[in-house]
Amino acid sequence: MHPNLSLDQAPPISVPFRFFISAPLFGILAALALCFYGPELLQTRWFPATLGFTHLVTLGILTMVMCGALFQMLPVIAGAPISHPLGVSLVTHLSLSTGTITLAAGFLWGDPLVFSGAIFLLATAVLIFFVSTFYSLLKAPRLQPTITGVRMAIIGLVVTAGFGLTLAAGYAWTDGAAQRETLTDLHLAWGFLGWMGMLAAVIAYQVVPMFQMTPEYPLWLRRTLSWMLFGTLLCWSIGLASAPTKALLTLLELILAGELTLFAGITLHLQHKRRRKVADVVLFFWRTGMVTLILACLCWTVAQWWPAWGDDPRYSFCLGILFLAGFTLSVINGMLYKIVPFLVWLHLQNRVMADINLMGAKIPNMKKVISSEAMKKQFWLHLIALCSLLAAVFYPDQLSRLAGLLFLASFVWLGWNLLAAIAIYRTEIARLEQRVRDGAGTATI
Amino acid sequence: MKDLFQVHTLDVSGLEPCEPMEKTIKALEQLPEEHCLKVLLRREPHPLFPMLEKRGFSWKMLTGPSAAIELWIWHHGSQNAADLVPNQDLKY
Repeated sequence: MHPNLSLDQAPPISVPFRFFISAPLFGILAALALCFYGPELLQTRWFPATLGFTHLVTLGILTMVMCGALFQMLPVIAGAPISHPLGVSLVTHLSLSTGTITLAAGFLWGDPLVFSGAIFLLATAVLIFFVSTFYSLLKAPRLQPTITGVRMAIIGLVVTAGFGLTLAAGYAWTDGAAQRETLTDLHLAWGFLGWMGMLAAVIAYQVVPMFQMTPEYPLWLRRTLSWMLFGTLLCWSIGLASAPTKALLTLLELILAGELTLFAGITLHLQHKRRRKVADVVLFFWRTGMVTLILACLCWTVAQWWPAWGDDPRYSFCLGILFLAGFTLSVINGMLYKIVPFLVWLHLQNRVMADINLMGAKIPNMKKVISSEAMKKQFWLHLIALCSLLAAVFYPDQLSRLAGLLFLASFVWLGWNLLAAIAIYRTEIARLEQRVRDGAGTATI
Repeated sequence: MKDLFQVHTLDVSGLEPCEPMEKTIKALEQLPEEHCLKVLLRREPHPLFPMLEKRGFSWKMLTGPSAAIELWIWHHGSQNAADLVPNQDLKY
């Protein structure tokens, strides 16, 4: 028996699901904002509605799913459960959801009071999430590269939030934070690389070999990538905040781009060497994510050498769309299609195993929880929406609202697929409970 | 001497989730009292352990020569089955 394994440490299914099902709702809100504002949203990154839109995506969709996934995965990968998962997740979810909406409203209305509310709610969400998860990670009996990476990602989230809240405080209580551009660059870099990039990479070490039947990531990469990414980002931040020389910052930025490209390249290589060559929709999502991550790094690198591109407002939109909608959103969307059916199956199976009256009871295989056809169609919709949004950067008048409509359809479909999975869970668990009540013995349901 | 016929081997190392756990659970439903199930896996099946506990099974995880993980499972309290498990150090 595993000496350090605490039994029944996975949280109730409602803990991750409340985060997962909220993500498409925020996606729908963001897509509606794109439909409403259209080309205006793609003119400058400083446009208030653009800032609101971006935070609906980064907090409402991406951070929302990442927090839910960590509440679910930490007890398993770290071997140390989060204390009071129901209460902690409920408060985190509530404050993150309301904080995101309030922040988006704060950008739109420019009201200091609304900004103050957003600061309070988001600070609460990050603080509670940080304390609960970091405490769990400190108790981890084994120190694997994934655990080290998750710790760094959570620190990355706190640093991102720190810069973000300082900027929001500038909007709320003064005419804008001093050194707004530097703080924004730091906020973006830590959010993109220190939080989302780091977490996606370390979670990939677990989920890519497990769900895509690829060989394991090389040990040297698992041991070094998080440290390299974190260390380079820290040096870059110190360089940017002090008196930087352009050449040093450029070098550090190239190293960061190289580290992410290395991760994406190795992931694509592992996927190419996977055992089962069956085309799987999650593989499509991850491949899209890795290709767009490489393109994002390329876009970033080109801007270092070609100042005309770096100063072009379209550059920051291309980079943001490739990284957020291309890389992070694709990977998260794909991950939801594995984690949600797996959790439905796992919790049903757990119920069956807990009661002798349910011996032999059949439950749906995880492949039957969400139809593969529905997932595949949503993937193509997501891909077309992504391409349209990228093209809209160059043709905003013609394509921005179309991209909004396509993303709207994609998120509605994603939400529908997740709701279908929850409906199957509820139906099946009700049948199992009925069988226990009936004391039906061992006959197959 | 250990009776190898009482050890049933199940190789699920080439299957994707949730098939390894499904097949293991199915095999356990037919496992005789004095027999042992040896499961070959690529990764530690963390969620399986609470289920084994609930159904009255004991287990031991070993580093196997033919797969990343060898998981030996037997009915709790069956000394004959427990004797079939190799006396090898645990992975951790």
